[in-house]
Parts: sequence; C-alpha cells; structure tokens
Amino acid sequence: MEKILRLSFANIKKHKKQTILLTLLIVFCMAVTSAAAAGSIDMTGLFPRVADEYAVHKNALYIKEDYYNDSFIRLLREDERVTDIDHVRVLFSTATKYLDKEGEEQALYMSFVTKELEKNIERSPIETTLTDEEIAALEHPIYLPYAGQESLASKLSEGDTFNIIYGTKLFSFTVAGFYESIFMPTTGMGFQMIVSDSDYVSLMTIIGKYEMVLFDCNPLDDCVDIYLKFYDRVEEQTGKDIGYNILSLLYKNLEQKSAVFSEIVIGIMLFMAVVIFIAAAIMIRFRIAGDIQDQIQSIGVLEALGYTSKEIALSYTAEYLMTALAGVIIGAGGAFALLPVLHRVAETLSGHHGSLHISPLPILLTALIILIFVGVIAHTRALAVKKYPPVRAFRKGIAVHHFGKNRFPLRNTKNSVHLRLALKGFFDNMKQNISLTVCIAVSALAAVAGILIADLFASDLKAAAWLTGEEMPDQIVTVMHSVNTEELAERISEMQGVKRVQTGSFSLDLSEWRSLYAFDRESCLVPVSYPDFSQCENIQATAGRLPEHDNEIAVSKLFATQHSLKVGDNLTLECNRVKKNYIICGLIPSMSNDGTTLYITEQALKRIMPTYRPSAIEIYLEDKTDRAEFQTLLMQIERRKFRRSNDADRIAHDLRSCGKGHNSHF
Amino acid sequence: MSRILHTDKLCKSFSNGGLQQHIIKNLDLEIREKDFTVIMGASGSGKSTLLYALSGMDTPTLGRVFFGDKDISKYTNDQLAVFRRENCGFVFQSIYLLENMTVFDNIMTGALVIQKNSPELVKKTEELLKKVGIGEKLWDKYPNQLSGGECQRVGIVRAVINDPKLLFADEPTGSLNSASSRDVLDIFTELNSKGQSIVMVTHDMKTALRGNRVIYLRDGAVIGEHEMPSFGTNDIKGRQEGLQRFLDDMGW
Repeated sequence: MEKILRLSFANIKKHKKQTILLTLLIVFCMAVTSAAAAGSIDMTGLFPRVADEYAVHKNALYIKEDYYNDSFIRLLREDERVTDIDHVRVLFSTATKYLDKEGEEQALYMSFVTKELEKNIERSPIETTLTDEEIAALEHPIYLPYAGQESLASKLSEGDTFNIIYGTKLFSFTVAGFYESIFMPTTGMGFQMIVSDSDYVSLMTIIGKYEMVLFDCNPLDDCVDIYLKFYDRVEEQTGKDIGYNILSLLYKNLEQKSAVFSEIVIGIMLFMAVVIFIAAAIMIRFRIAGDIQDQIQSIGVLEALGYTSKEIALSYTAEYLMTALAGVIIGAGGAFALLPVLHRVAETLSGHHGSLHISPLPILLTALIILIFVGVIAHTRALAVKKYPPVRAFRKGIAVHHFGKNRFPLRNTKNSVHLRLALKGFFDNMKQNISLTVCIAVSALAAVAGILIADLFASDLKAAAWLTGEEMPDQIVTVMHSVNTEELAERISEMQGVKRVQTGSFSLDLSEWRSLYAFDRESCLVPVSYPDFSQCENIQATAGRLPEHDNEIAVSKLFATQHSLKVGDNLTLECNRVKKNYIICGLIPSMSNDGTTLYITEQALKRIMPTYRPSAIEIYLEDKTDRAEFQTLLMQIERRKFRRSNDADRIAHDLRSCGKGHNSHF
Repeated sequence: MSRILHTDKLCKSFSNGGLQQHIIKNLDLEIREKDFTVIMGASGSGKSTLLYALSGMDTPTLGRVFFGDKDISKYTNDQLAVFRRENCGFVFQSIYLLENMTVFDNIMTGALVIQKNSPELVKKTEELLKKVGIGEKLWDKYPNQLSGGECQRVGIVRAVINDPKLLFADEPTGSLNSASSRDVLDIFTELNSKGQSIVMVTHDMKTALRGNRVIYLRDGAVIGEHEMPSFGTNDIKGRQEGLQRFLDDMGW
C-alpha cells in the first residue's frame, strides 16, 4: 500500500493548483449537500419541535361567534380520536391593516388575545428587551409573533409604534415584546397578538369575536379527517352551509406549510450541489485522462519497474480519494457553519423559533456518497492505464505504426501557420478537446443557472410571483356590478401608457370570493379565471399546459401531490350542488391559498357557475408610464365604475404581508 | 555457465498501415549467467525490439521466451509486471526518471514495488547512490536539477536496487557525453565483475568493448557472435582490434 500512496502523493504534489481547485469544488459540494440534507431534517422538524414545546393544543378551529354553538364541542368530543378539547374567545379579522414605516396601509389578518387567554393556546415565554417597569408604563402594549421583528414589511422592535387600522379606526399600540405563536406566526397566515385586558375590551366592540376551539388527537390519527367529519356533522346539525364561518388551523396543514419554503430552499441548494458535483465528476475524469496522457512514459517506466496496471490505477484512485477526503472534511466544517444560517432562514420563513437540531447521519452519509462516487469515477477512468503496456507507453500510446490521417498538413499552408497549427492540434486532440468543451459547457450552465436563480430571488416580486402562481399587473381594479367589465377593459386598453389589459376573476373584495369543491366537498378550491391564459405572464405550467377549453382546469402541484393527481386525470367540481367534470390539463407551481388555487377559463367556470362574470380588470402599463399619474387619471375618468383599486406596489406589499389575502383557509 | 534466459524461434512483427512488418524472425538465443552480453546491429535491425521481448516488456508475436524454465511469452501484462519486478532491472536511453519525485524517491519507487520500507532498505539505497557517485546533496533534488550523467547513474541504482537476476540496458550512454558515458560504463563493468548478468543494446563500439559477448543482429536475425574476456583482463588495444575485425566481418 505504501508504494501506491507514494505515487499518489507525488502526483498530488505535482498538480498542487489543480488539486486545490478540485478540493474546493468538493468542499463546496459537500458543504451545500450535507447542509441541505441535515438542514432539511432540522427545518422540517422545526415546527413539530416548537409545537411540542409550546403548543397547549395542536389544532384550532376559528368559529364565528354568531355561528358557534356549545354543541359543537360535544360534536367534536364524539370523535373517539379526539383526546383533549378546549375553547377560548378571541378577536379575529381579515379586514385589518397596519401602517408601515412609510405610512402605507398593509393588509394583515389579525387575532387578538389577552395574556390569560393566550395561556390556553401557547405556553411560550415572551422575549423583550424592556424592563417590567417600562412595560407597565406603556399605555397600549402589544406583543407580536417573532415575524413582527423579522419579516414584517417594517421590521419592528420593542418600543416601536404599531398602528392598526380597522375600517376608519386607527389603534395605536407600542411593541412590548415578541413571542412564539403556533397558529398565526407569519404575515402570510396572520398575526395573533397579545394585548392588555382593557385594549381587548376596546377592540371587542368592533373586531369580530370568534370561538377558538382547540383540540388534540393521537399522532397517528388524521386531524384533517377529524375536522372534515366534524364539518359534516356541523352542517348536518345546523342545516346550513358553513362557508367561511369556520376556519381551520390543523397541525398537519401547519406542519406542511411551515416546511414549504424550506423545501424550496433545500431544493435549490441540492440542485446547485448536483450541478457542482457533475462539474467535479467531469473534471476528475478529464484530469485523469489528461494525466495518463501526460505521464504515459512515466506509466511505462512504472510498468517496467514491475508495477501492475491495477496498482498504477489504484494510485490515481488513491490520489483523488485523498483529495476528496480533504474536501469532505473541510466541507463538513462548512456544513456546520451553514446549518445555523439555514435554521435562521427556516425560523424567518416559518415564523417559529426553535432549537437547532443537527443530525450527524446525513452529513456522514453525504461524505460517504461523495467519497464512493469520486472513487468509482476515478478508478473506472484510471483503468485506462491497462491500454498502455510498457512499450506502447514509451511510444506515447501509439499502438501501431499507423498514424491515421494527416490533418491540415503544413505544406498546404496559405496564410497563417499559427492558425493551421492550432487547427491541427485541435483535431489531433479531439477527445480531450471535446471533454474540455463539455467541462466549459457544464460550468457555463451552472453559472447561468446560478444567475437566473439569483435574479429570480433578487426581487421579492419575481420570487413571490413565481411562488404564488399569480399575475403581477401594475394595477387591479374591481368594477361595480352594473358595469360591463369587457367594455370597460377595452376602453382602458386604449388609454395612453397602457400595454395591455385582461379581465379576471381576482376581486379585491373578499365578499365576492367563491369556492369550488372537489372530492365530495372535502377539498375547497379557489378559482382563478381568465378568458385566455396564454396572455398570462407569471402563470406557467410545469407539467402539461394552461387550460384552453371549457372542460379543462389546471391545479397546483401541491394539490396534485396531496391527492395523487396527474395531467390527464378527471376531477369533479361542485358549486352550489352543481357538479361538473373537468380534465386536469396542467400543473402550476402555485403556493397561494395553500395550493388550492384552481386555474380555469371563463367559459369553463361558467359551466359550473352560470352567473359568474369577471369583476376585475388587470392593467399592465408600459415601462415609461408613471404609475401614480396613471392611477390618478384612471380614477378621474372611470372612478364611478370602480369599487376598489390596487396598484403594483400595494400588490407587492400585499403579497409579502398576507399573500393577497387568499388565505381564507389559512 | 548456465543459461538464464533463452528463446525458441522468437518472432516479433508490427502492423504498419495494414502491412505486417517482421522485426525479429525465428530468433534462437541464449543469455548466460554472469555474462555481459552486448547486442549490436545497424539502426532498424531490431536490437531494442529484441531487448523488450527478452525482458518481458513486450510479448512476442510467435515463438517463446524462457526465463529459467518459465515460459513468459504467454504471460498477461500484469503477470509480466510481476515477473519484471522479481527478476529484471532496466536502464533506458532516455533514463525516464519520474519527474515529480526526488532522486531518493525515484529509487524507493523502484524498491518498494517488491520490498517493504525499512532502515536496511534506506541504508542500501544510500550506499548504492554513494557508490555511483551521487552525493547526499543530490538525494533531495529533482531529475531536472541533475545532469544527464547524474540522472543515468540514478537510473542504474533504481535498476539494481532489487538485486535483479538480469539487468537490461537499452543504449544507456546514447544521450550522454563521453565523460558521463565512461562513468556509466564503469559502473556496469563493476556490477558485472561482482556477478551481475547484463544484456545491453548499443550501436557504439566503445560501449560494446565492455561486454564479454557481442551478438550481431541484422534484419531481425543473429548473424554472428564474438566472445571476449571480461573487461580489464586484457589489453584494450587487442580487445578493440578483435571486436573491430568481428564487426567488419558483420558488415558494420
């Protein structure tokens, strides 16, 4: 073994720079891959750890006070799978807003509880930098979930003013601290905030009262099924459609939701790691082939000295394994440095703060896989040494006295001898040059992929648009019921500065939203409808295509995965007891509405909702058009025809803060 | 003296653009123990090809090569490698020291293929290097820091470190100046005087004088042999005249 390692060390010393470069590649690959592997365990386990530590109960139902009945508790308790039930009164609204630091209104679902009430929901401690005396001196203290200081549009800290708007009323609070909210921890899901008893009483007069029913079940039981059975029993008992009177926050859904963005981050990291690894693998193969050619006479000498081709191949394999081992060890260190960063990302995205959990197994497994992979690639390539017995090696690999075609003979040189020599060299070393070209192409691909991903996430809007699967017009207006939407859209399209308009189903008025049901009303879908999806810019199908005909729909990838659906499957939709069959023609990478967005053409929607009419006009402006000026002009000309309007910046803020308010079922 | 290696109708051919080129033709040859055998011939006579075939560096097209009583002509490449490490040493015209290793490591590379690293091995290497005039100052130098003569002397140490039964040398002084050539040949003479069997290929008469047996090749066949006493046992002039007459008869 010593003789083989000597050869390997000698080779490493000879190619110091290339060895360092290869080591760096492997370091990066190891760091990213093992951090992604270990990070995914930490990130996906974050919510369960936090829930185990802080949640008093793991499932919550928000039931409107005037709909709630104490018999609901009995109905829920009748399910043998339910192990514990409690209920508290909370205040909740989807129509609340807050003022950001620029004084702009930002929509945010809000729930209000007192400290006493909160103890029935979570047992998380409050973190604050204020002293008890300072807090006691505050007139209107408020405690926000951690997202208030991390991911709110205007990041807050203790002592900051937090202005809440409901209708025409403004409530001014002072941030007193932050805490772990299990059920409403993010701007996307809404904030559950702790206020003083007196403020709670004040808010109670205007903000809707909800009975928050909390329950637990055994880990192996399906809380979603428990809720659906409860839902049916409530409908049976009341004889009325529940609609939006009950909103659910179930452990299973919360767990999925908290992991969604983390999975995207992990997916991107793994993609990068795979690209780097492919580049490293190609580099190893290319280098070994190059080394054998460069050192072919030395290989002949070693064979003359009595080294077998296997021993020589092993020396190359050992060389690359040692390089990989160094890379793996350093990369593991890098992974340990990356993991807290990923953990922080998961905390920020999910709104939950939990301890970092590092599992060494994924890191070890990744190291082993990289080493095995490098070893196999190196060894299979190094076995090419067998083709060169000593005499052929001394002749630099030439087996016979036949040298093939003499490409670009110099006697035919007309102009530049340098060009001719370059072409001659290129074709004489065709294999190496092809390998080099592949290396460069892969590196370029990796660079382009990196740039595209960076560009995608450099802008909040782009990333949000891609993730929500929704259009990003410069302006959206919701028209009055009496107005012909298409005619108005036509007129707006002729206005100066307008690039294009399209009518759609997205209404800024939540009361207009309608749901479609699938799977015998077990799933609720939010329709997004356009007359022609080919005009859409941000809605892209990653499988199949966008709907075109009146019997086609597209669903989100998340919904398809949850229900084992694929392109070509049939899905029966129901609305107001009317059922229609549709064919799934495409899958959209949409995260809005927990993936329950349904993409359906106007004609297709009218089959099941005959009274449907598009109530929104999405306006796209030319680049040089001043948005504020256009909005002013539009309001002047067509104001009476609009019920609400929203411009691009507000759309962006809405997307960041509350996901356009689509979270009717959280 | 007993024979150490012999051939039986040895043939070696190469393909040249579809045509077969016969380099060695039905050659029967014996190499005796403790002999310093020199193979001579004009350029293209097949000297190096014969050397490679005898040493197991190349496989014959037809015929057999026996080392002792072992027929090595049917060995696989790896079997030949094992055979070479146990029995042969090589000195090349182009020297072929490993560029990425120091002088000492070049020797150790040759030694460790069959021996385990030990203080005795290190001591033996040091002694051999000193014997051929490579001082301690040069032991950590790389080949490109040495002169041609120094490199070839290192090559010789590498070839004999494992005490081979047979030492093969392919024009060992071909790329050296006269002073270095003399030094190298003196080493070969000394090795042979101590009982080392040597087979050397050369086209130089002064080099051939060192041997005690000269075999002349023409067109892949042995056409003559000339025996001489061991070098140093008789006068140089007489030796030279004898060899010259032989070579003239061979058409040299």
